[in-house]
Order: sequence, then C-alpha cells, then structure tokens
Amino acid sequence: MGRALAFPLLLASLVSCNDYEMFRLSGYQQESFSNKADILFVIDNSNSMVDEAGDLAKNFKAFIDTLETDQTEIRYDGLGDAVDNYKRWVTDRGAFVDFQIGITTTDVGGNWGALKGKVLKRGEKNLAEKFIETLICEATCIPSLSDLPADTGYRCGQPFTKLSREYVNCACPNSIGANCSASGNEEGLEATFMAMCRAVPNPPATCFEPAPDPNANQSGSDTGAPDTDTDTAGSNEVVLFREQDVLTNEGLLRPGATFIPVIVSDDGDGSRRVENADPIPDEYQEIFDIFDTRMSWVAITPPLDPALNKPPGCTGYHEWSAVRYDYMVRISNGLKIPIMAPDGTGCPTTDFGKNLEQFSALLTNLLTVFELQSVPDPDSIIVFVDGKQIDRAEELGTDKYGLPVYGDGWSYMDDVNAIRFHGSAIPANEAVVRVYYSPVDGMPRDLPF
Amino acid sequence: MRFPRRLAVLFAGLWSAAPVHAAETVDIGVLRNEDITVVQQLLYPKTRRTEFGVHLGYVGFDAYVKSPNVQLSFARHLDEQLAISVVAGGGYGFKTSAYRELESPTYGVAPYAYRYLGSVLAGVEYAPVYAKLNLDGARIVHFDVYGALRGGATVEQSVLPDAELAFAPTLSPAVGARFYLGQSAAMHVAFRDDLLVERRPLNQEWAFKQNANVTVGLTFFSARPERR
Repeated sequence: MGRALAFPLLLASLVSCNDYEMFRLSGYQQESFSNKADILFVIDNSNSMVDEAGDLAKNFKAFIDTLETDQTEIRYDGLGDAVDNYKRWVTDRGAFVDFQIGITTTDVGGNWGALKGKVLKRGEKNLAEKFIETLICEATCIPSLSDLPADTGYRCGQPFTKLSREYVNCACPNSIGANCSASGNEEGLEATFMAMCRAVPNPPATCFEPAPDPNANQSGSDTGAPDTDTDTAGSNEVVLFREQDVLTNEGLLRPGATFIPVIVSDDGDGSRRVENADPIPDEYQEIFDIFDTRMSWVAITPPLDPALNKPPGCTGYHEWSAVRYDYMVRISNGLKIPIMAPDGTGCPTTDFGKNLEQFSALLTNLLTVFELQSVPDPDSIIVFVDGKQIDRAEELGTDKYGLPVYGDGWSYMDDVNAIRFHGSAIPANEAVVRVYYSPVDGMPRDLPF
Repeated sequence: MRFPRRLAVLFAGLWSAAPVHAAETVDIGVLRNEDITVVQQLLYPKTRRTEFGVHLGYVGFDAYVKSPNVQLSFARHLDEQLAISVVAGGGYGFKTSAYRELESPTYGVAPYAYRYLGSVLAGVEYAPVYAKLNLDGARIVHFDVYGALRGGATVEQSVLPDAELAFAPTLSPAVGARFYLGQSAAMHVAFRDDLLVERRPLNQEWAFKQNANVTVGLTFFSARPERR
C-alpha cells in the first residue's frame, strides 16, 4: 500500500510549480515614470531686477541648448516607442526631459499669476528666442531706456545678445515702464499658487477664497489685472481668482509632470497668506499639496548662511522672507541658487550662466525622486543604479527646519510613495535606476505567465 | 521348452528388489505459486562495489529560471539492493524569456526567484528491480531501477540584482535506472526532486522550493570483490 501511494505523491510533486513573490520593478516606465517637467519662471519684475533679467536672457539660449540636445519629438504611441524611449533614456537622459516653460511675475497685485505669453514646449521652433522676448518684453521692469546700455551694433531681427536700448526698441518699444511691479510686494509663492489655480479645470476652493491684501490701499489699483475684478471681500482681503480665470493658464500643468517653479528674485517672499515675518510658509505647503502635483522648487534668490542669516555685505531683503524660498526648496528637494554672493567688498550678482547650468543639472537629474507605481513593503525595497546596489540612507539627524537629514543613499518617502536619492548616491545623468519592491496590494494588472 | 538360465536369474532379482525402492520415496509437500521464482541471472553484481559517476543535469521545470548543472556521485553498494549514496554538484540558473518579458517596461515585474548554484546530498539508494531488455532481438541490456532518498543542503542565489545567497536544507527523493555497459560502467538516467526550504530576506519569509532535476550520467564501478 505504501509503495502504491508513493508514485502518485511523487507525480503530484512534479506537477506543482514554484511559487515566487512578484516584485514590482520601477525604472523607466512610460506610463508612470515622470520625465515631464513643467517649468514656471516666476520673475521678480521690480525695477531692481533689470540687470538680472538681462543676464537670465543672455544665458537662456545655452541653457535650452543643453536640454535640447536632440530635437526629435519623443513619441508615446505604443510598445515600440517605449522601447525606443528606453534606449534614449539610457543613452541620453538630458535629451529625454520633456519640458515646457511658462513665465509669470511675482507681482500678484498686478499680474495675478497669469502667464506672460504662452507655454513654450520642448522642440518648439525658436524656443529660446521666444522665451527671451517674453521675459524682456512682458516680465521685466524697464523703467526707462536710459537705464539700459547701448548696443550700436544691434540690428532688429538679430538674435538677442544682451539687454540693450536697441534690442528693446526693436522687440518691444511699448514695454518701457509697462511691466513694473504694481504693488512693490514680491509674492513668489502666491504668484505660483495663482498660476496653478489658473491652470487646472477644477481649481480647489482655496483658489476662490479671499486672501489678505498686504497692500490694501494699492489693491485693485492696477487695471491690468486680467479677468479679475477688484472686489474686496473685506477691508483687508481681496478676491484674487474668479470663475472666469479658470483655465486661463491652460496647459501649464500636465498630468504626471513635475511642476518646477523657478523663482528669480533679488528679494524674499512677501506672500500674503503667511503672517508677516513668519519664515516658514506652512500655509502654502498645505495649499500646494491640494493640487496633488509633484513639485520641485528652484530659488534663484538672495543668499542665506547656514544659520539662515544674511551673509556679510548682502542687504536689501529680510532674512525671514528669504527663508521662505529656502524652506520650499528644502522640502521639495529642489535647488537653491544664490542670486548674489558676497565677495568681500559687496554682494554682487552671481553668474547666470553657471546658475542655469545648475538648473539644467537639476532637470536632467530631475529625478532624484523616483515615484513608485505601487505601494511597497518598505523593508522589501532594493535599489540599483547602473547595476550597483545602493544602500538605504542613514538618517543623520534633523536640519534647521526639523526635517530629516540623510547620508548618502536613498530613502523611502511614504507621503508621495517615492524613492529619493541623497548625496553621492544621486544618479548621474545617464544612470539607469532600478527599484525592486514587493507591492503590498498585489499586481496592478494580470500577468501573462 | 527350456527356460534360459540367465533370464531366470534376472526375474528373480527384480522380484526381490521392488519393495526396497518404494520405501525410499520423499514427501516434499505442496508447491505453491509464491514458492516459484524466476531467477534472472545477475550478470552485473554490485555488492561490495563502489560506484563513481558524473552526470549532466537540467532543472527545467521552473517557469522563470532554467539551471543546467553537473553532478558528481559516489555510491557504496552494501548488497545488490541497498547502497549509501552521496551526490554533489553545481550549476547556474538563467532567466527564462518569460522572466525577461516580465521585467521589461511593458510589465515592470520581477519574480523574486532563486537560481540553483550547488548542492551536497547524502542518503540511501534502494534498487529492488534488476531486469534485462531485449533491444529488437539484437542486444540484451541489463539494468536496474532504483529509488533514492537523500538529504543535505542547497546553495541558491536571488535572481534579483541583490544576488543574496540562500543556504537551504534539502530533502531529495529520486528515481533512476542504471543501464549496464559492462562490468565496470553504467549509464544512469535519473530524476530527482530537491525539496528545499530557504529564507528570503527581502520579504522576510521562508519559502518552499522544488528543483526538479533530470540527469543523465556515466558511472564507473570498482573491481568485483573476490569470492570467499
């Protein structure tokens, strides 16, 4: 009897299969891996910024050229495209960033977060020239032509080389004095929020709520406010956004893209929803979260030393207002670039060429944060860069904002379900990143095997 | 009529001898079916011989990993049926096309599979069947069929790039046949199913796994012991 049973038992063992747990593999995945960068330049259009705007314009062409090493439009029509894109991703990650660029100003009281010009998309013809023209002609405060240097060699139609009387006379003679901040209060955070409200079809209720008016006596005085009445909801509040403003910035925010506000200002933030002199803009952190959009802030703004004080020689801004941008950069793993730096004798403007190089590096390495397609068992995550396993980063302590500081490696961000790289573990431009993990809720689709 | 004298003597002898023959008959009882055995002449005895061999194997029943391997065997035959057996081997598991398709951007999935690297097993072989085959009337092949039960350890490696090693206790039932090529060599065809339990660190679980291995090999016997 025992022998009779042995054979069927043996056969049963043969037909059974090994049962493996399926790990998700996140690396490049067309539907989920965000190579889209929606960039919004938020330009300080106060009259102190004319030189910086000129420098930004002068260096912008090289910046775009860095990103547009390959002008071929990336297609997403099927598996064949996915494979092609994967190859390109491996070999030319810089070329793979699918960016688009918009411009607005920090002047909420005058511009209300509306885009200057239209959204410029990667691959668009004369993208850099269009950006420069919009920047100079619509987002730069040029009080008078006499404030600009002469460039007698410039002829209308030639490419921009520097901000000069001749260029402005050719490109936009009517812009003289027209784009200067109406309020005198630079509100980079509020301008970004308003720009987002205008970009989505169903803006959150917060967009419509009246906000404190930091310049009550000036509010509404600028008749250039697009599509917005000058209604005030109270003696110190003003309605910034109304139904007719919905989708006036259409196309600025794409689904699945990383939204990158780039603040360019020689002043700090004076946004109205934060108490005056409060350096931590929690209020804005909360309302940005409502949009459920991944954000990475870039602040080309006044410098702060490690103790969040102004460096010696640098003046003209409040420390608390500069800290606000610094904080947004910190919580979004963005990039802080001092717009000026002490040199022992003063605090001159930094080289915008180098500043934009840093920004370019951020874009091509956009992806220090790798979003995962499924919620992982955190203990199961393993991460590889170019085939080499990367260790989980050690939490070294907390920073000046009380946020965790990590050593080299990666950490799991459960709030956004993503892997973030730190320090020397941040992948190089052309690195291949692969993240394996066990999904707690199983596979999102049926598998063929 | 005269009766020949010699014939008379013969008859007299037979007459007197018959009762003696009947008294010598032996009763051996009733012969039953189970008492009857067909005895195969055992041309290739194994008793007190040592058998060494090398075998090529293929673990091919796994959907995601296929593992060619080489096994070395040693057996000491205690008698014609029972032997002590040791098998050690190594190999490498390769991802299948199914695995590669799963980990492509289309699916973004990686089975947490383990590949076979090596094993050492020891146990007993029991060969209850010895028979011969008539190959188309041209050749007679002697063979035996054996079962084996061995235990030991297997070394495996994660197919994921972490390449973690797992050292797994293993129980390995097997069946096989030994086709005699002569007094000193035999060809083996065997199937063994390594049943192992391994700790997988990424999901912190003990996992049961089978490595069903089909092997074909050549073994060599030590000289036949001298008759005592």
